Amino acid sequence: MTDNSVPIEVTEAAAHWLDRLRSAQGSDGAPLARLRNEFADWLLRSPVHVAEFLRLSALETDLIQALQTRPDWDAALPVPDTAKVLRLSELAPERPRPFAPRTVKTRRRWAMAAAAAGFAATAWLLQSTFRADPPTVATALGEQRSILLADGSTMMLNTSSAARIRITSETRQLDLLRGEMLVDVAKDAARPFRVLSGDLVIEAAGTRFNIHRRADATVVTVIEGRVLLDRRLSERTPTPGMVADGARASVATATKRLELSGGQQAAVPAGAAPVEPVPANLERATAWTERRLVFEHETVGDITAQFNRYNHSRLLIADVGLASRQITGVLDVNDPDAFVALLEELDSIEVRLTPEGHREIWLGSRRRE
Amino acid sequence: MRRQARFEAAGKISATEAGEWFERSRCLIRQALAQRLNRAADIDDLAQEVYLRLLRVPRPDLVRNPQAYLYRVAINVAEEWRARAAQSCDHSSEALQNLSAHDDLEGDASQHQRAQAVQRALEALPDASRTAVVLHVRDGMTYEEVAQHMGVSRRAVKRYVAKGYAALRLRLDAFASGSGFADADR
Repeated sequence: MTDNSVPIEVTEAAAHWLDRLRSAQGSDGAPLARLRNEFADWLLRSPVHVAEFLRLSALETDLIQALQTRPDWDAALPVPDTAKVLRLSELAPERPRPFAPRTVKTRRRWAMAAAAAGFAATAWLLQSTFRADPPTVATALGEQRSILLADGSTMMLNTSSAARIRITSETRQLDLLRGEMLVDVAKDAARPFRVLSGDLVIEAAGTRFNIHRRADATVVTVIEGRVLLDRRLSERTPTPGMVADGARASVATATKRLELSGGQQAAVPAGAAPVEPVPANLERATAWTERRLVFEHETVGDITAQFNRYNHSRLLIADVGLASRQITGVLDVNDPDAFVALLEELDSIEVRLTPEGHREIWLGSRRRE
Repeated sequence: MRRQARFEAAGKISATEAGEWFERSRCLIRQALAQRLNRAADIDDLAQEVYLRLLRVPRPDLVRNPQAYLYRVAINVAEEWRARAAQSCDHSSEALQNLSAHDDLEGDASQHQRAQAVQRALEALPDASRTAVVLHVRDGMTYEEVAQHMGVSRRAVKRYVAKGYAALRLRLDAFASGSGFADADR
């Protein structure tokens, strides 16, 4: 089913736009100019956005109709245990409502208590299903998955990635075994949220961040909030093969925690000290969740490697000069053909099909002769 | 195999026309859109076509009321495809000027069935998502207001609503394709 592939970020954005467009309608009935501009930009960015916005528009209409035909709807909810379940009728809005005109003040406190109890019960139920062996989630080449964790956080796994999930009543921990993920952490002061990538520990409160575990380094990008980078205690000792000076420096800095806040990025080489945080291009770091690739002065060789992360049929750049050429642009990860077409615009190239079905790209014949 | 993009319909709509059309009967338009999308075989294909047409719209026209424009184009495309499927080339966009609530081809019975499916799907949502969706949609609360009532952050509400919508969509797609209710929590 195609719907499974819609990232929660896109659904969130589409729902957010519906809400903003509705609440921004002023007395003249038209949303503000800036809002309309931003909304148009968002729509034009991807057909996925258009599809999701249309879907949710239809869904909201269906919901309104369904809820209208049954005004007693919340009373008809299955109620297994009144103490634990949040009753919708307890949450009357302050504005006048056609049904159930009751006083609000006293019920609000009840509603809070009921809400707290309801969430606690739900959270406990979800947790207990995770008691067994920590489950491992993996994605195949070209696949992406969004997973709702027991604590309400979400984890989105990029292509060819794997993570182990350990959520207990005391701790919340994800092991990024390979690949890349975007984590949206639910706030819970009592249970720190940690992501492990090799010996690197990333600790977060309620926040949103992206981790890419590469062969040479782990790149952490914080979109919102703050995270702390640390090394696991047992592995703070330097690897034996290291140069003495480098090893000393590494120990000294590696024991220091590095803090990253929203908009910052740090690359942490495996077994070495984290480098100083740099300002991050957030659009680029999260573009993969919309299956886009954003390039800014990147070499053709690096971009080709990115495409090969997502697609079975590989591209090989056979010409060093072409591979080191820098380009800027936005491309669809599912569409290596568009990339090849872009290269064709840059220079005259020749595409050769290898016996394995991969494509080798050479500079055009007139160049080689 | 992408359908060939056809742009003439988008070209026929003037921005003010789309805006007025939208403001006149916002509710009916949403209903017409929902009915057409619920019947569309593949919303992704339809959206692809809509997207291509939006790209061709001059920017000043689009930003005057992008939501109205989007709905208008989506309904046009859905109608065109339906007309083409029925081998009737007689379709004109004039027919769309006179959208009425009773123009549904689904009939009351299947609409009732759909409403029931929506209710069942709602019941199957986790408590937090269901509460957030109902308060937001039925009672017209903003995220801010829902957050206050639930005693959680605005961001949490945003997430509950999005997760609720995603789960509802999955279940309702399963309903539409006649395969009963899928397990949305895979």
